[in-house]
Amino acid sequence: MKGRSGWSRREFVQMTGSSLGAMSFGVPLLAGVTRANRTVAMRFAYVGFGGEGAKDEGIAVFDVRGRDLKDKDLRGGQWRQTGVVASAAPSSLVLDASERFLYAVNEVDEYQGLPSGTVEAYAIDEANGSLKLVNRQRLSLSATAPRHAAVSPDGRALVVAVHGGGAYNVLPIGEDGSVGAVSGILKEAGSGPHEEQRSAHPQMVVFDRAGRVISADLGSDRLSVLKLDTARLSIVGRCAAQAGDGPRQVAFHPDGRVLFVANELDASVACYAYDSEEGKIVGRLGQVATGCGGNAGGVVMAVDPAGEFLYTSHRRGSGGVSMWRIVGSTGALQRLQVVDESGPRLHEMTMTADGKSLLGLSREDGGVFGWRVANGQISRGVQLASLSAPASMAVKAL
Amino acid sequence: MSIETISRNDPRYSTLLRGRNGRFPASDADRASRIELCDNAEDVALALQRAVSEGLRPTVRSGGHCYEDFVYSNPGGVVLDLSMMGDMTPVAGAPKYRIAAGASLGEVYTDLFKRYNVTLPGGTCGSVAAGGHISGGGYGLLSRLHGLTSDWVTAVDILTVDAHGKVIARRVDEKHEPELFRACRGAGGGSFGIITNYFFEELPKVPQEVITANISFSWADMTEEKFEAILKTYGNYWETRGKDPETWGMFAIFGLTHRSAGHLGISIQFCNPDGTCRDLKVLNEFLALFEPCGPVQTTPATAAVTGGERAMHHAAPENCWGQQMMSRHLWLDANVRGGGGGGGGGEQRAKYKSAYMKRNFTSAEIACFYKHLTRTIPGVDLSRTTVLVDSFGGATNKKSLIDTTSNPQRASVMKLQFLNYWNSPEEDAAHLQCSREFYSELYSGPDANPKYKETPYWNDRYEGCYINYPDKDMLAYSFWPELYYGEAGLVPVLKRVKQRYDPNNIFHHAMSIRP
Repeated sequence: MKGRSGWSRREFVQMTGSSLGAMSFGVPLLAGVTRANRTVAMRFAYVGFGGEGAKDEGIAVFDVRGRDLKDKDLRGGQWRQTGVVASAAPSSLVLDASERFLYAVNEVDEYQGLPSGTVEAYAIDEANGSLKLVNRQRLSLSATAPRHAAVSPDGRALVVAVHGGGAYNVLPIGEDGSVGAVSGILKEAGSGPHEEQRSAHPQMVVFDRAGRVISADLGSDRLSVLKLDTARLSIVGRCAAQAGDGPRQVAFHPDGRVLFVANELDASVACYAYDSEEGKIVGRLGQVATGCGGNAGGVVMAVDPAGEFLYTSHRRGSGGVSMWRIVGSTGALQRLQVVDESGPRLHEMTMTADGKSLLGLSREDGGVFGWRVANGQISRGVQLASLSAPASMAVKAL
Repeated sequence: MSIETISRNDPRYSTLLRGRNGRFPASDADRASRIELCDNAEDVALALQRAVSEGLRPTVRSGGHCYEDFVYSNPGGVVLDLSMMGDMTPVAGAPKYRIAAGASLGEVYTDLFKRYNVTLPGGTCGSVAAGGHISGGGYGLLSRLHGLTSDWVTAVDILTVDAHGKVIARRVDEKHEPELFRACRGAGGGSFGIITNYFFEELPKVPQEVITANISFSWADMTEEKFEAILKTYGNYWETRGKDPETWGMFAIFGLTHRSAGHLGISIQFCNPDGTCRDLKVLNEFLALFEPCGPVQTTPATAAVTGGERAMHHAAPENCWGQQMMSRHLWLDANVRGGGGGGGGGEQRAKYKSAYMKRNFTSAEIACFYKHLTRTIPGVDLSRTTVLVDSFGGATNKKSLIDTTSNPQRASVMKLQFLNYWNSPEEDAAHLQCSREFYSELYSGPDANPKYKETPYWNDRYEGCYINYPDKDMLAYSFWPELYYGEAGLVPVLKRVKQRYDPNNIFHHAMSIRP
């Protein structure tokens, strides 16, 4: 048990398990693409684990059919792990729209001697959710330590945000789900005042409704709008964040006109107006500090698919999950509630598409955690699965 | 002239997006999207800024002789061509001699001779240009007498890209940004920025005259015993007598060709250390060593002193009349063979490897040479498989240069270049495999350190490899940076230079210094 002072996993589960009787999960909100009002139940969950400091690495497969929290016996491993596949430092997992294929981003610095990260394509067995590697593809030279990927709306391209090498890669996706050789490279240059900002570090990419790519670059304090055209990326526009913000995560409000940005370095969430017709980030509407005292850092966030709430947690500093009300279309945030302040610090967080459940990964506490949201309130959390150094997650419902 | 941009629809594109080695770019997907022909450093700065701002990767060529795919494997990127930047006129406020990056060695030697009666101790291939040659520590027939080209550099003009993506023009020397200056003296191209000019405060005087000589041996009557005797005689000379400064004006290249080539031989250029040929004692003494080995008569006039790929270029059989009546060439390849700067001369496919040797050959090494130079593989023409054994040492072994240049190999007496040449892509796999097998076996023998097996890693016999003969096969070994740059602290210096001057890793290739 490596829980921090004042909290142990057993206590946490015992405290909270009883209040979660009615909790159920739906489809998580995929970055940037709203699938509100869908209540399709989860079928399989994939959790990538490994990376920095981890002994083991791979992708764990969970059969989560009927495994929602209304079951009576919830304690310890409510998610049933049915398999695992080897995968090098899977920093991001993403499903294609059909959910027949899973793409993993391998946050490695070298592949077969060359300074490149890789991505992997997996075919999903519809019956039992198991994964079969379709192929592993090298990224471009110097595209080291990739962090995140997104599948284009037409399902034909994978766009990868490359943290280490400061670049974006585009790779074509074949009929069989395989990832082809890199077809487009966009090399970034930039920096910021913080010591982690000595060079450009793209962190995340999401698609807008028109198929443009919106990206967050932690190293250069920059948001970008990119055009994906004939398998290549080009710059449509840029928007500077505040110096030292370190934007890490971007998510659209379901109306597509407001963009939330989680800032790694100053633990804040900023809100930007987005002109979805022009593909332009118009300007910053507001910004809130997300820490509750202490030295919070590495904020993670999830947006409610109905556009009413936003949730934050941190990878460093203070624990707990905050629930925020999104005020109208202004993007202004009001903190409503903080739960589990002595609970796990989260590495990644995602909201189910029905807006009723929040899923989070904690690296230091080694598990998947869940919270239920109902009547404008968030429950206390419960541990759903235990595994070391979880880093990424995707949930299949189709 | 302003920058001439060659895009995909330009008829010159297919010629200019290649270099000398027909293997690269290996596929259409690897091809750069455009080539920017630059006339001067301002052009280069502009073209570089344009590439960086568009998010395109810049790669750079001057002579187009890079042995690996560092320039032409640049998918969708930009090749900056400096081959027309051959200006050697002095610059006010800079050291006396200036060589622009695009100047070919042939131009350099002629110009320096005519204007100043000095020269650069550079390579034998006249179409190699200064940019890549000097940055990796280029050497040649006068290097035993005068050291490496990088040893003579006293300042460099270089364009770097700062943390914000802005191009910065710098003139660096031992007082201004000394670590970057050091990195420009031997660490190789494509890691830190774009060198546009080299400057030299002084350069060695041209020898008044030289004698060239050749010793040729026939493969027809060669035995393994004789082969061993010849190689040991050659290696022993450089390990012993060749260390005497009296001999430093003599440079030899032993072309260990494949048996199917018919002959193997030693090419020699000689002068006394004072640049005359008044006293031939040293040369005669050297030639006499091989008399017992039964060399065959050659005509000196037809046996060119050659080194590097030019040697093979000349030795390469032309397509045989009758066997192949017609052959198709790019115009530049057909008409400006061996010249013309970037692009052209790229019909031949090649693979190279290297090793620095501090000692004579062992019997085990010679047995391995013999085995691989006499091996046959059905359907594979190995007649252009060669190991060039260059004499080395002399002035190149000045120890004080270890700390001021990025060429740490300062104790070797021979330098090996492994070459394989062929013509068609279908033969790639076989030749690449042959090359790998030869080299791995050679350096897995009884003298190899098991920890660094398959490589000439630094020990009492070897000093690793030469970055201007880069070999991507070495990437399979985690210690490859030390293999090229040694263990004495240069690798951390180069990493520091990389982080400081190219924090965004704009300049990168398979074997560039990693941030």
